[in-house]
Amino acid sequence: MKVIKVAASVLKVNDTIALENQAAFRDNNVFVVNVMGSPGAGKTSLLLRTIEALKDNIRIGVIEGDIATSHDAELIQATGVPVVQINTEGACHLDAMMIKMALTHFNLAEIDLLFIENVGNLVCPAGFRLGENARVVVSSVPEGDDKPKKYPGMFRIADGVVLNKIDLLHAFEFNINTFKEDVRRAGELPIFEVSCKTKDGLSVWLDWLGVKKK
Amino acid sequence: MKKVHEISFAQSILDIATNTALQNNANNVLNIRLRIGEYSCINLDSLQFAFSCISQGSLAEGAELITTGCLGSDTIEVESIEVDE
Ligand SMILES: Nc1nc2c(ncn2[C@@H]2O[C@H](COP(=O)(O)OP(=O)(O)OP(=O)(O)O)[C@@H](O)[C@H]2O)c(=O)[nH]1
Ligand SMILES: [Mg+2]
Repeated sequence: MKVIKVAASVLKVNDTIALENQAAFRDNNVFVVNVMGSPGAGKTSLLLRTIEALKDNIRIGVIEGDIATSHDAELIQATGVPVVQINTEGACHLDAMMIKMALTHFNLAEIDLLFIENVGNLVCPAGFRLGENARVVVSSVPEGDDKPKKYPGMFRIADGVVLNKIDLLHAFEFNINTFKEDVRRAGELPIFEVSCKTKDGLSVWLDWLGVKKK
Repeated sequence: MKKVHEISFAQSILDIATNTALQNNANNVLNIRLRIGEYSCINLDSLQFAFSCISQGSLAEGAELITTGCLGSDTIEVESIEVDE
């Protein structure tokens, strides 16, 4: 018997497919944002506000990831932008293959900005690249200020953090400085303090999107 | 659109193990040591099951997967394999 050292990282088939998605997006000039965060953080609400603000100027598309329902996709559909629903049937995250299949339902040449709403989860989606240009974590005041500390993996891979529901700050013991410090520990990320209810702070988020897209 | 991604990981692990065994003139893989990152979202039971299915008839048929967790990472690594010469 003999032990052979290998030290090879297992090629994630997911990464290969993510690269194919990325090439398709690049060829069609589509800017893709992967929106992640806990269940109920406000991912769909943020998309609805963003679509409302931008849809007259930019051609937007949405892929909705959901474990079982099409509730969020119906809300998006009502805005008139093209939306494709992916039901993961139990899986806690979207993967690149699901996106590749969803893309067959879009004409990418007719989209400038594609949002992918991931399954509500602060752990698993971080490990699966989809071929996106930017990854955004939506966190919200009622979840508590300790999320960046408890789920650093998600914040480490993010390009931007949206702190939603700031209209509720008065009702929760939420220390915004603690939140920011722990985000900074994960990386130099922009943090957008917004309320999708009152629309406070949304313009800074929209400006960032615009700059990123260029 | 259910997708059990453990199958694709199992395939990749099998390829690495059998290629390494062949390069070392071994014809039987007894076990495979893996490091699995805490964020890799791998279900170890599914991985073991997928591996036992797809390894049938290969050099690694019946090989045991020995896993160690790895904090703060989303990668999966084949550390070493043990072979019969
Ligand atoms: N007070 C307040 N409520 C909000 C705000 N944004 C969203 N909500 C509410 O929070 C709840 C969840 O919002 P969603 O946008 O559905 O959250 P989500 O992240 O898409 O949730 P899942 O898709 O289930 O993971 C809804 O009842 C929203 O009306 C906000 O800024 N302030
Ligand atoms: Mg939603």
